Amino acid sequence: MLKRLLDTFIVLLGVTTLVFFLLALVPGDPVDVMLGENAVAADREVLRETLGLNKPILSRWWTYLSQVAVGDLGQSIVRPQSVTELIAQRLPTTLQLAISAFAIILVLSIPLGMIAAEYKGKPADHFCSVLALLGISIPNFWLGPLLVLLFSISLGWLPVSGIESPASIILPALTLGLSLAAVTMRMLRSSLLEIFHQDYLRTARAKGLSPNQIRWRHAFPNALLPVVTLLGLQLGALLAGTVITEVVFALPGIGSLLIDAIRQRDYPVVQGVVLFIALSYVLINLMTDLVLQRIDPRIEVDA
Amino acid sequence: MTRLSISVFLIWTILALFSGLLTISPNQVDLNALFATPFKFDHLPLGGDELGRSLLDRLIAGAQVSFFVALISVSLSTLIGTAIGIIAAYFGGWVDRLISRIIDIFLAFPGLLLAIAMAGMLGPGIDNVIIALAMMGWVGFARLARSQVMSLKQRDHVLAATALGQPTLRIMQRHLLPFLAAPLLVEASYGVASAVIAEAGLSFLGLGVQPPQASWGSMIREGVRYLLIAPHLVLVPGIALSLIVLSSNLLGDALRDHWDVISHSKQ
Repeated sequence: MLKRLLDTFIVLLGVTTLVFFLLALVPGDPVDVMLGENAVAADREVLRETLGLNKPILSRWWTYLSQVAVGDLGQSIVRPQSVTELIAQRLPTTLQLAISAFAIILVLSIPLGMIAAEYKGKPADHFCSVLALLGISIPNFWLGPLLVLLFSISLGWLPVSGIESPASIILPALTLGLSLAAVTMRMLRSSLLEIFHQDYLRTARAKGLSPNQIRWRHAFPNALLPVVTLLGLQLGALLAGTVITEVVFALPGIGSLLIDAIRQRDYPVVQGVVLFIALSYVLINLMTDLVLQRIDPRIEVDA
Repeated sequence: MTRLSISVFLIWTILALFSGLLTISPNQVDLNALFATPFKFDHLPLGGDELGRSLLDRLIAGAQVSFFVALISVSLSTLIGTAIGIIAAYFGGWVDRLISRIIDIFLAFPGLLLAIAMAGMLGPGIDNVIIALAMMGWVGFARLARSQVMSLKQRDHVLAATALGQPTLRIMQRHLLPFLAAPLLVEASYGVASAVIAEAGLSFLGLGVQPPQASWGSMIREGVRYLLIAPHLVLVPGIALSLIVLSSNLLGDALRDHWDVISHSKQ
């Protein structure tokens, strides 16, 4: 447990360092790139001072680490707000999208995975495999327009974009969730199939338990363990997945904030958003591991 | 299914390698053919885009971009990742602990996040896309090579070679690498699928190839604006993209079953 926390701490430190050094990738002088070649010398000095670019790199790195540690991600150079304020402003939209997508993953993958495992090799299973393969092969920036074409333009059921009504979150959430649902479904299927062959299930059958008791009390809870790990990973991955989905549907979340910041060369915001997503991902994974250990005492968090 | 995906792969390769021999003009504007639907004009079998440029020609130009980006970035990822993974597992100890920590740090960036961040910082352009994808992709190969070598290291032939005092580099080349070839090829074939999606994704976000150059991702990006009046602008590149990704995934599955290796990317 302590080792796991220490590992997480090292990873958090490493991630922050990597994000700090991202600025070094900017070709040439970041100040030139941000302000343009024709900026006044005084402005350049002010920006250089604000970004701390005139200090040695190690002391800048230390400053960055200590600021991030207290939740200070710096100042946007395009907008009059701090990076933390900008993220806080945009986060509700992203969370709404991520949570809706997560609900879609759960609702689709669990029943379909169970059906596919139960009817292994039958048409229902093949149908699920084809769905899963399509889900994995259709990237979300194409799936989004396809869904708009089908549900908004051809059928006219749902709004094309924007955040005017609750219904407008459905298409973005489907866009984001479908491929992850496909992966989860495959995982649950193979996990169930593995468990169907285990000794304790044979014992359960030999005791004369009904198929339903075997299914719900013995097979399903154990098959869920690897799925919970995967779902934890996906919950974090959804935060990154929203970037493309938000751009497709013009939603004002942290993903579109990131892309806008890249276009405007607002590097502190780029670094801040990337760091925020990566740190959330690491912390969500840590929590998943802890939850998993609660569910199943056989799992050692330190292993 | 496997034959079908090999054929799709071959067509993609041939189009990419020999598109120089075809007289394609992906940037030729034709104001008579704005939003032309497929087959409306004989010279535009897949129709024209918002500037009347031939969608077929742009599709072929895009095939070239995705092919070379995938080929180079996956090769780089494989080389870097395998070397690092072998070193970690072979030497063990603090070398392994250090490398494993670095891998953990890279794994903390879900999905395309690291590639988006790097491409955004480096600026647009194909070479920067390749760098960003290689930086994102090496981790998978490193993990795979590391776990494989961990178990290979204990095999008799490696122990014998070590006991005979063979140089480390020779042991790696002659006694470890040949056993890694099959799982690495499987991983590379899934890697092609993710590289193609990632390149198109970056170009979709405007971080990849720049206009007027065609990429399937940027074609979708430009086409989305005209979804109401000309859906084929989005459908044509999207279908090509999904076909390639589907084929790489199926090919990976086929290779995996053929060689009976356990893959990491398909859990």
